[in-house]
Amino acid sequence: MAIVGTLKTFKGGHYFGRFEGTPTGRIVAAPLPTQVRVPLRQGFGSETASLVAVGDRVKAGQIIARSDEMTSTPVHAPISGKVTAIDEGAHPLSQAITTYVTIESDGRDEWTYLKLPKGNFERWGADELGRILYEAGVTALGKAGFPTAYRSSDVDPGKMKYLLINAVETEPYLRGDLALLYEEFEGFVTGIKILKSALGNVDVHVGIGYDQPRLLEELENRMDYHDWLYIHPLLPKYPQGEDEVLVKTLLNLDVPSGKHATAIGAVVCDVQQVLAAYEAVLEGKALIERVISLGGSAVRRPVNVRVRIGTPIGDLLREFGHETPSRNLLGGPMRGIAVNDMNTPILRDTRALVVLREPTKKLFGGARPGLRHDSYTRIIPPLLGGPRVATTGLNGTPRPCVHCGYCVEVCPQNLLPIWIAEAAHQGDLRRAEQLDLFACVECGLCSYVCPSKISVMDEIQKGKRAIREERLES
Amino acid sequence: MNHRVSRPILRQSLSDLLYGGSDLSASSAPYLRDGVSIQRYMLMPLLAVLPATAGAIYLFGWRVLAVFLVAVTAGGVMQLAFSFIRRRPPTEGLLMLALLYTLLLPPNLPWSIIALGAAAAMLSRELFGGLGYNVFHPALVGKAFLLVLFPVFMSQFSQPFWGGSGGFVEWAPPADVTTTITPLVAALQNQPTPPLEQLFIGNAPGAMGATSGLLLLLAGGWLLLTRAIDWRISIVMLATIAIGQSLLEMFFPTVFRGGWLIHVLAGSTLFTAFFIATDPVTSPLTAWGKWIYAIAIGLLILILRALTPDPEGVTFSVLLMNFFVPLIDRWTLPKSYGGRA
Repeated sequence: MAIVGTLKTFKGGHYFGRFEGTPTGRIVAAPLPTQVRVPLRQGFGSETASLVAVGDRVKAGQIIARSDEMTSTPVHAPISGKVTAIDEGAHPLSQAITTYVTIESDGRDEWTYLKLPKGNFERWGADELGRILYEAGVTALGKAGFPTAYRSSDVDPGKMKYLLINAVETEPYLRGDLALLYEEFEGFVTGIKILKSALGNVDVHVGIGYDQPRLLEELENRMDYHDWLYIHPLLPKYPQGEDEVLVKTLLNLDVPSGKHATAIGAVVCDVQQVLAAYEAVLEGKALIERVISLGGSAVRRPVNVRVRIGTPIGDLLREFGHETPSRNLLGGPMRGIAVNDMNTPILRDTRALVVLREPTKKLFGGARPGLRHDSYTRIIPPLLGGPRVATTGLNGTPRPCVHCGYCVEVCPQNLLPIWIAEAAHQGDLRRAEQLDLFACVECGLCSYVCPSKISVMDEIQKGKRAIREERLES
Repeated sequence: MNHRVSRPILRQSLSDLLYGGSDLSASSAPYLRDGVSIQRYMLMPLLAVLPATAGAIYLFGWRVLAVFLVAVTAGGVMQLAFSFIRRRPPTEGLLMLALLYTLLLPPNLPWSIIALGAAAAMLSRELFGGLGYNVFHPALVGKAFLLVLFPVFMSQFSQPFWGGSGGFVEWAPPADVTTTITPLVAALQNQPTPPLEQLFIGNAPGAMGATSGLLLLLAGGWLLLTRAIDWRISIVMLATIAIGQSLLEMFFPTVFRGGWLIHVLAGSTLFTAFFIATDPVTSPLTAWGKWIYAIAIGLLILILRALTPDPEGVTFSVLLMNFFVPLIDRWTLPKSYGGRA
């Protein structure tokens, strides 16, 4: 019998208010892009080698790059058409030099599907399911990939003990997973069974926001006869969906700092990964489209939109409209990366495209009540002012740390963020390590809450990079 | 980590004051930042202390305001001097510092002494590097400076105005009342004390802004609710004083006297618990550190009051614990969930 736990949460974190420009309503489909530029490194794993040449015709779903001997997952053509260029450029997230394949659409949208064995998937066996997930590109999602018999991750799937499903969305503007849960619930339920079968003997823990009682009840009813399933209602507090935080909340286990959740035998998947597994195994569809939340204060029509991987963000912004000056973020407002290039492609692990207004100069901006800003403190009354308005503004002048302790209170990993940031900033990397900077999950709340507007997380990230470089040299 | 300034400091200061950084935007993730600035954060205790300031004027006349203005001027001159030496725009905190300092003083201090103390307070902050870097609570340094240099002036208290429009139509209480002693001193010397309800509403001699328990409790409650101060310091410190005094009186009735209610209501205890000890810069960062800090201050206050001639004990208790803040933080490092530190 499925076991429904009590309401769980974690120490620290922040419950964001509702923001203006959050996507609502049904998922809409974006128009087919006329041209896509697909980087051969997407999600977890190293870059894959191209199998196509300039001038080749490809179909949607066809594998255009794979490297079975390296830790990686194949990359697919998201549209049907002709390969017009293969060149190198900076990766939109890591900025590392990456190979891109450019495909021009022929407008016909012809698909190719994966070959599936006959009969019920429950009798196919873990290896066969692993092959399908690998060839469909599903294994590239998640912080450490999904382990299969293929080299889709660094760990042995047989050693995994837990499968965690993250079905709680807590970052502002991100609503895609929630919309999918309501629209494709059957796929979600079957997808969980598929991923469980692919991993073998694991316990499955699903974390869902307690504010979605319909989903909780439905899930309980549909999965009633499975004794390997645990359903946990969670407080939708940011960053609950982070792998390490989810492991701590659901299993009460610590992920060793600097390691992935797989180090303690836990695989963490999100809703879209579960649904992608369902589509791959039951329909033979490769992961070439996903739902992203297109939202933010500068977006005219905030929507959850189904897009092909590789669609340039410029296409989406033209279609749904945005105001300028604004900042385009690939990902949510807390963890997203600012991109200026309108040709930047949507990747298969892109959760959102958030466009925020730039701040405007206001007289006495430092002391204004600001009833429509979100705040960790209750200095801004949380119930007044309706939906929150967000800009990229610091909302204050940078000042030295006044030790208010907010970053310590919100840190989900029980760190002293400002001390780590100070140590890293001063180049005292040993002290930063002593303070366990690699336990940081980079949720960004420390920078968010700081009244002195210190970019705490940025300093911690720089410290991490410096230590990694040091280790590479020695 | 320190804020850098590219513009000339006068223009930068003016821009900080007028626009409060409302035109600045985040240059690294997260691109969404909290709506509260350092100005707003520091404005909260300032707003909370305003009712107590009005109360102080009602009790001790309009001279309170003049004392504040003198303190702002003296402190401001000191801060500007450092600002020009350092070539960095002046930071926030002057108003708060001057107001807290004013409210902690007895009425009827000579102007020169007030100015001297305020300058010393600001000096103590700026010498350590200004806002965020000072080790000792600046308002207390100013007061301690005066307590040591001018013990006679600092122990002259007056009976407050009461009834009708009170001090709102007066300048200052008569200065020749040299025999007035504070309720706490009376309690410690086994002399009759004012009734507790009079103490609670503030009709008793004492530091100008720290006599009215009612106004201070309202302000403190509001600050706790808005998360502008940490309950671990305020509540724990008050609880330590209440419980500690009761226990000590039980075991050493000859040394510890007065009853815990007097110790909480008189001698600037509430003022210290809500506005002084909670100063983030000079208190510990870790959760358990705050407990240790608050308990230690509470106990030190009781001991100093019983065993030394210091009539209030709060000033030196907090200053002494300020010394230990870095050490306490190191002792109470939280264990991270990554299994290190």
